Parts: sequence; C-alpha cells; structure tokens
Amino acid sequence: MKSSLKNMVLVLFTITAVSALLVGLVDNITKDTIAATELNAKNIAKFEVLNAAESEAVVGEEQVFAIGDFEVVVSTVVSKSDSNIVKGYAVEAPSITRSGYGGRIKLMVGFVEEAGNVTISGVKVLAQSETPGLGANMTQPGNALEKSILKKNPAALTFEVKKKNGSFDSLTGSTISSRAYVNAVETAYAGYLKAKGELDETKVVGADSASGATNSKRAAESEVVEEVAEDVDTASGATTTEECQMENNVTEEEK
Amino acid sequence: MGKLQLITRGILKENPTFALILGMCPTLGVTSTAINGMGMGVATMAVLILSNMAISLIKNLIPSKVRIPAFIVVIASFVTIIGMLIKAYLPALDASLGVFIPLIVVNCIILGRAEAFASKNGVFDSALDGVGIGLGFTLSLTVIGAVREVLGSGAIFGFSFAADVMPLLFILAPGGFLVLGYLMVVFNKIAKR
Amino acid sequence: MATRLFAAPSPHIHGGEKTRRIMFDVILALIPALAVSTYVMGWRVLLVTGVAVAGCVLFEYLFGLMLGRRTTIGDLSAIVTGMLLAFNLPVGIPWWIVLIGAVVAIGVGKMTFGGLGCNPFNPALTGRIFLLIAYPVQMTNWTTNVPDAISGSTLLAVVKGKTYDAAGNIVLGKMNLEGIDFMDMFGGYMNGSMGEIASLALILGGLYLLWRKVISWHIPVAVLGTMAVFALCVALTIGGGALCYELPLFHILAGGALLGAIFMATDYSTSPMTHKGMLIYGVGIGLLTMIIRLWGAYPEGMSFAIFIMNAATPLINKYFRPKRFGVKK
Repeated sequence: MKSSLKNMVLVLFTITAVSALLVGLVDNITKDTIAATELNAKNIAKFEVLNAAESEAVVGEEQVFAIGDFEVVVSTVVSKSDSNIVKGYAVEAPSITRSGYGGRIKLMVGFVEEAGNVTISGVKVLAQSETPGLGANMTQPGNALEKSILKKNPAALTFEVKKKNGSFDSLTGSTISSRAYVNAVETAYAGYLKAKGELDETKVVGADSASGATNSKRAAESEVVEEVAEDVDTASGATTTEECQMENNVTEEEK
Repeated sequence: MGKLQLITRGILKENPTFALILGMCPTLGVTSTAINGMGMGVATMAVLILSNMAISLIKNLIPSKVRIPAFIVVIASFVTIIGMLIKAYLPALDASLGVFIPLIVVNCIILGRAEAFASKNGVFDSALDGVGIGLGFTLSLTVIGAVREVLGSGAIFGFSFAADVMPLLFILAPGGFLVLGYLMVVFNKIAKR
Repeated sequence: MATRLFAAPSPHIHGGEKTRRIMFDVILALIPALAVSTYVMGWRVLLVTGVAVAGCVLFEYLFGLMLGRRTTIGDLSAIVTGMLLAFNLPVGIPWWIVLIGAVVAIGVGKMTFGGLGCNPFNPALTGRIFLLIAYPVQMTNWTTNVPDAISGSTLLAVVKGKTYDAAGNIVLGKMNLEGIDFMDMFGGYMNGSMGEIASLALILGGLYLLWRKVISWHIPVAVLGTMAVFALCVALTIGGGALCYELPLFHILAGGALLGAIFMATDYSTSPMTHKGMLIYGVGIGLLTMIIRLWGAYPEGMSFAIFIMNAATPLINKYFRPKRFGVKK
C-alpha cells in the first residue's frame, strides 16, 4: 500500500489503539490473579520456612530493625482463623560481618516456639552470588548447612562452622560461603531476639564472638591465623596428615 | 508450496535455531533443562502463530513505510498478553522463564516471519508457517535443553540418573554455547545429506 | 581433501625452526617446575601429569583419525598441552576428570578449530577452564601433603573472604605480611595447582625459553608488570600500609600468575604477532586478572584473563599488523 502521511498516521493510530484496548482488557482480567500470586510468592517464603500451610496462615505484624546499615525484617506469621495464635517468626536477614565470594548473603530464617522451646524451622536463601557448584549449593534444599541446624534451638548453637568448633556443617569446598551463611543465621537470630525484646544489648549484634569484633589490628591478625588454621580441614574427607597439619598450625598460633 | 511443506520446512530446511540462527538470546538463556526449552518454545510458537495471522489479516491496510512499527506493535501486544496470562495462570513457568518472556518481543524470528512471510501470504498459510517455524524452534530448544540437562546434571526431563559425576558446566552459560555449537555442526551435517 | 596452499604475509624467511624443536624446548623448560612439584607434593604429581599427557596424545591421534587428517602427534604439541593441563590441576584430582580435561583440551580446544595453529584459544586452558566450571569441588580440593603448608585453601582464596565490623566496614580482607612467608611462595611451599606453586622453577624455565628465543620478553613482562602496578595502585588507594593483600609481590607469586604469564599466555597461535600487540595483550591479561582476583566470584582470574585476551588476539593483530618487509613508514 502506498504511504501517505494521512494513512500512516491513521493506520498506526488504529493499530496502537486496538492493541492498547486488547492489552488493557487482558490486564483487567488477569491483574487480580497476578497481584495475588505475587503477594503469595513473597509470603510463601515466610510460610515455607515455618512449615505453615498457606491456607491456614497469614502474615501479621512486621518489625524492621536497623543493624548498622542493614535491615532485619521480622514478620510474625499468625493463624488465619485466630490472629492471637502465633505460628512463628520469619526473619529476613543479611550476613553482616562476613561476606561470601560474591558479596553478602541474604536469608529468610524461620523460628518456631513450642512449649517455651525455640527451634529453627527452616532456612531459605533469598539472595546469593556464590560460585555455582560450590557456595551456590546453599540454595539446594537439604544442604549440609541447613541440615545441621534444622529443628535445633538457636540458643544452644555456636555460630561457627564445625571445623571452628561451631555447630554448622560447612558445604564441601566452600568455607567462606558457609561462614557468611552462618553469619546471616546469627543476624536473623539476633533480629528474632530483638523482636521478642530478649536481646542482650551489651553484645554486639552479629559480632564475631572470638575476637569481640574490634577493628584493632591485633584482632584482625589473629583472625587471619584462625582462618588459615580452619581452612586446613575445609576439604572433605580429612586425612591424618591434614589433622597433623592443623595441629602444626595451632601450635604455631600458640607460639 | 504444499501445506505440509510449510510446516516441515520450519523444522528442517529453515529451522530457526540451527539453519537460520535466529533467536539466539532465548536459545542460550533458558535451555538449561529440557522442560524450560520446551516452555519457551511453546510460548514463542503461540506468539508467532497469533502475530502471523494478525499481520496477514491487516497486511493490505498497512502503508509500507510504517510496516515495521506496525508489526512491532502487534507482536508486542501479543507478547504482553501472553506474558500476563502465563504470570496469572502458570506462575511456575513464569518463575523459570523470567525475563525471557517479555524478551520474546525482540526475538527476531517473529519479526522475521512477519516481514518475510505473513506480510505476503494468506491467513491460513501464515498460521501454518507459524506452526512450522514454532515447532522447529520448540524442537531445537527442547533438544538443546535435553542435551544440556543430560550432560550437566545427569537428568532428563527432571528424572535424575547420574547426578554427581556429570560436568556442571553444561547447565551454566558456557555449556549453552558449547552445546549449541556442536549441535549446529551435527544438524548441518545431517541436513546437507 | 584437496591440498590448499596458503601464502603467509611477508617476510618469507624460514628460520629453520620446527614446531617439534620449539615444543621440545617448552617441555624442557617445564621440567624444573615438575620436579619441584613432585618433590613438594609427592609422586602423584607424576601420575597425574602422565595421565594428562597420555590422554592428550591419545585423543589427538583419535580425533585426527576421526577427522581424516594426517596425524600430528609427532610434533610433540600434544605432550606440551598435556603437561600444561596437568600443571593447572590440583594434585588430588581423580584420574577420570583428568581424562575429561584431555578430551576437552584436544577435542574442543584444538581439533574443532582445525588443529595446531588454527586454535583461537589455548587448548590446555580450555581444558582447565572447562574442568574448573564443570567440577568446582574437585578442582578446588587442595588436600595435599604439603608439609608446613600455609593452609588448605590457596592463599588467594583465603584472602578473598572478607570480614566486617558491625557497621559494615571491612575488618579483614587484607592479609598481614606476617601471615605469609614469601620465601615459601618462591620455593613452592604453598597450596595450588601442581605447576603453579614452584615460582623459582617457573622463572628458570622462562629464562631458558627466553635464551632459546622460543618466547620474547614482551608478554610475561607486560602481564606481571601490569599486575604489580595495579596491585600497588590499589594498595595505595585503599591505604593498605603494611597490609599486603594488594601488594605486588604477593599477587605475582600467588596463584597461577607466573605459570600463566610465562607458559600459557605466550602460546604462538593464540597470542598477537607483533611486539606492540604483545604488550597490549599482556597489559589486558594483567588488568583482567587483577580485576577478577579483587572483585570477581573466583579467587584466581589468570586463566579467565588469558582466555578473554585470546579472544581479542585477532582484533589486536588487525590493528598491529607486521610491517611489510622493506617498506618505510
């Protein structure tokens, strides 16, 4: 068809108008469903870490705490039928004092109270950029890190990897990512305690328990030695030689 | 050209992935598993059939100087509509295809078929062409996805058989390029016969 | 297949060099590093190297047969590829992964593109990068028997993990000088791939290649010089002071810097032809390595950097053509 200004304007206008009409129509039909699914997706993570059924739970109060430049969000999940029945607390927290290879790690950690006993009901990784096949394995359900703390009381946990006498199994070959994960769980627990008003404020939140988180040079140095010593048995399947090696390092440290 | 041939040539002679080498972005981006490749292929096929038909319908009304913007508006509307439908009713597929659904708009296969075929042929032929090219795209993506899934995670359509010994590389980005390249070699070797 | 004749750009002077002699020199130059690694890490070094070399030669022969080409194993290049591949692997790697590496190095890295001289990427590096991405756990398992080794991870990996105080400031991301013994790094007492630990032996091998005129100084000096300058700049801007993470010497001795700069980056068919081009290529490798080391998701970036600059080589060659013989500018 020959182009003239008149028909070009007319045709383009008509096509755009019809398209806009169609898109608007479909948007009208689908927008409620989409909004519901999106809200759901956000909340599903919260329900998931608390093992709560979607049909029975709703998100109640949300509290936001600032730790340094970071935010910890504590959401209270309550029963749908009775908002006084608390199903648990889903805490969204980043790793603060440690980062993985690819930056900080963000977790959603669920805390459930049963008869005065607090347990970790689930962990979900919200954001991470670790090496695929190594640190990124923390997103897989049932990984070593998650397994080692599920259904345990966080008050009884030592927030370190096992090789450093902590309570967490580390992922094969990725101590650094594992320790960032541990740190995020620790932050989440601090957030939970704060929400409950049970946090001991004299303790620096998310601080390294060993060094007391001073940034004096001495502390940093001892950190290095510790890190080095701990990395010796990072590899899976420690052999006797390795253990000897670690002892060597320890003695060196003592010297 | 026979009606059947319209469909088969999209699969072999004018296979969009292996012969025409169009639409590489979704091809490399979503084919980490067979099912993802298939989902992307089907979504693209739906857009392709609809846009081919619509453009064929209005081809005589469009002034030739503004045909490209007109085609793009038509295609973009269909992609947006299908994107919204998937988001609303197939949230799982939406999560795994993510940003690649809106990117169907810029998939050059669709604009290419609109320009090269639908704007010159009847509605029914254009629909068949959409089916053929769409099938070719879906098949290619499914094959690439299947090969990558088997080599990379030791599974096929989600059924795992040798999880831990397979090279992880194949489900990551570099594996997409490698598999695409070697499959292209094999395809062209077969197609030339 | 029809025989095709190629005309190379002038000057058409034959130096009397053969691929075989060059490859033999490279093998000789690699032997000191191999010896030091064997001494430090044990006999398994020889075993892994043997499997890699045998695998590369075998696959070169098989792929040659499959593609109907004249076999090229006589030029020794497959042996060099095998040795370099082994040098890029940890000593404890399972043998079947070494074989997969050999298939990829020879099959994907070399024969796909038409064999020696036509490959755009260094074959041994192709194998290593494939394995690093494909088997990250096995490829970073530095469980070695290094006596008094500094750690079970490589130094680069150790310093990569950062620690922050409660306000989010970095506390640890730099390593103290006292933590590292540079003499150990020099002599080979550190963790890493089999061939990258023996800094002194690698330098000796490099000097031998320079003396034999197999390589020129341009690429290694450009790579290492860039890394040193970059490290110094970062140390000065971040204000490391006595902290040495960003210090030049650490970066040159740690990881695969020396192995990469001397043996991997200088591969003929994947590096630029003119000296100016080589300098640019080397600077690019140095910069990319440091960027990946300091800010990337992997602790070591040497292999990726060389790979990326391999891809840039045709472009560099295009802008820095050899001068036509007898023409004055």
